Amino acid sequence: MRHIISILVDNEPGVLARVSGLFTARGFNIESLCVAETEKPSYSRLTLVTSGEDWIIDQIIKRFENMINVIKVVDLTESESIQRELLIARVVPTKTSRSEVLRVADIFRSNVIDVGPKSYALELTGTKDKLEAFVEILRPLGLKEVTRTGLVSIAREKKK
Amino acid sequence: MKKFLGAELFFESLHGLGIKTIFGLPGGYVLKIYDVMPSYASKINHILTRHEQAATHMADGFSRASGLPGIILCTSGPAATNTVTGISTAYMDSVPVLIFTGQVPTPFLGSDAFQEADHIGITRSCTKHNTLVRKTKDLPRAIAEALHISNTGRKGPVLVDMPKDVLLGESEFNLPKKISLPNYIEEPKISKKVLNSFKSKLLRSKKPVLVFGRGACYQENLKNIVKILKNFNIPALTSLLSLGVVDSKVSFGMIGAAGSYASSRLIEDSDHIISVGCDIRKILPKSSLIKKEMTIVDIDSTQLDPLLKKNLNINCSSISFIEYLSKDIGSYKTEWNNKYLSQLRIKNNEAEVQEVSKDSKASIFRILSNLLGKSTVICSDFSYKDVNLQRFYKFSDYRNNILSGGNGTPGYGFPAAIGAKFSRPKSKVVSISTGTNFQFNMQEMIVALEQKLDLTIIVLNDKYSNKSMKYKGPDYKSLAESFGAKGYQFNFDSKIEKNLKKTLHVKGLVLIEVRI
Repeated sequence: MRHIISILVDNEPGVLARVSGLFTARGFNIESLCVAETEKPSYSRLTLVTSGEDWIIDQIIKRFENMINVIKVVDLTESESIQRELLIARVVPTKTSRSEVLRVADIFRSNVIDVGPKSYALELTGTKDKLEAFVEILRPLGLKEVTRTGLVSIAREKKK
Repeated sequence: MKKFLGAELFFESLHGLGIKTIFGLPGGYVLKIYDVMPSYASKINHILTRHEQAATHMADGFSRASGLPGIILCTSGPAATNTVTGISTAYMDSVPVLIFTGQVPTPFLGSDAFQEADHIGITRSCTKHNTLVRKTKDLPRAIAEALHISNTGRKGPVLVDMPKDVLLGESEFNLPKKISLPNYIEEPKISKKVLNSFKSKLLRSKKPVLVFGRGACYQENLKNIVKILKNFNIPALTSLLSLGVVDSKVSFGMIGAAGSYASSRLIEDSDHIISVGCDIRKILPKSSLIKKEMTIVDIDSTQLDPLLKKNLNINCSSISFIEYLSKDIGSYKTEWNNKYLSQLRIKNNEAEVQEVSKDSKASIFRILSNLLGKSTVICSDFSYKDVNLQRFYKFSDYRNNILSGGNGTPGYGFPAAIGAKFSRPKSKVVSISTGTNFQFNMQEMIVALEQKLDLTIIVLNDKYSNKSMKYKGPDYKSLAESFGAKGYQFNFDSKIEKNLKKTLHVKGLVLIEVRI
């Protein structure tokens, strides 16, 4: 099953290696990983997506909790949290598809963040599915390069 | 305030934390520490070893024999990589060991400088925690924290990496009185609800059995364990590493493939297995546990069983659990038949005698057990022959049974015996290993001679039982004599008991080769 694990860690060198080391030790693949400072500069938040049997993930989370540099670990399920990802794509359209690219960008509510004589750079935020759909539509229109941030996620407010 | 060099801060901190003995070897990046060492010689005793792996094993044996943390000091690169086997050994068996390594100056970190290695990276997966000190002023705090982490909760090795410029820098000495690590859970809190469900589970069970692992090996537990066993009339088993936590006369032996006859009978007949600080799922086959009601008590939540949901998992220290058992259960008696239990004990002894008669070489361990008595510390390696030692030797104190369990490190026994002798100078210490295992760290005989230790090394040379082997190994008697120790050589025959009796209590460093 797919798991989104959100880990609050000390903002120190070596912590990322410590966390990711637990996955390599078990032969697990990390599908996406996103790290940045939080509202407190001494802490970083690490959002990690992986797949595996529930009980192994459970063990890994317990190991995280035992680490000195880890403050908090949450296994966010997909239904009870909001996920977003950012994508930047470079498109080099043919003469005929130049306006079509902009139309597609408009439909997806994507912004043009760089324009050159030959190419556009487009930015898009959304869920994984939305980004993938965007990429598929741009592909025949001259898509050259895509870079994505990986998933970030936050828990929804609990319903009463 | 007075300023100290980083190297002086190292000793001031250790002294402030109550450390009296360290094991180590000098080298380039820790030379400053050795420079200032003479002025601290009255406070801290430094034991010069001949190999860093042996230094780690000594600190490990020092800790296991006494419960105090063991300290190692060595330089960077090859020295630090040599310690890895020892660190791994301590990590597997949760032994509190602190490793201090020298490191290249901070500006040169990661530049492939002379004798540089990434100690933090290398030891990440075999330490409880490790840290690189970047500023001289942080050194005392880092040392205090490392000791605290190593010696609390589920204990384990912690490595502190000290770059040369940190040791040469100057700073004031501020040793934190209280360690504040907000993210570190020293001891998980035990909830009333879990305890209540355990109590009702225990009261329901008719034939429970207690299994103590190394996690239960604390002095604080000993009295309570005796009380529990007596009050509840509950049979107790141990693991390989915790032999002696229950006296060999009371316990029904150890569990596992090499375990006692009685242990497998008891596990089979019981209706509730209570495992305290023991990794029972790895020791016993799944088939013998799958239908049993179990309660697993462990301080480390990762050791609890996530798959067996019907079992009760209790995440707490063995000390608080055993205290709870001895105080808060009230009157409860198991339905074990006393006649059955005493008969089981007789049968168990018979089975042992039978096994010894089948494998006559195993009788050496019974002979040694009779000759050495209860207060002797036995340090051994892990091999087929040495597990026989644990099967047939009668231990009455877990601190006397020193061996590398989880890691099964060859060559562990002898250096551990040297360490044990330093923490318990009044006890008789004996190292028992096969010839091959002894060879891993035999150079440490120099340390034992230099420090004028009374130590007995028993080398079981098993090459003589194999006729196809032409080379029978070195002549251990002359080997010992060439170092300056006393050497003896015996064949394994009817006179062995008499010969051992004569030589076991000779003073000084004594090596006894037994050709079996």
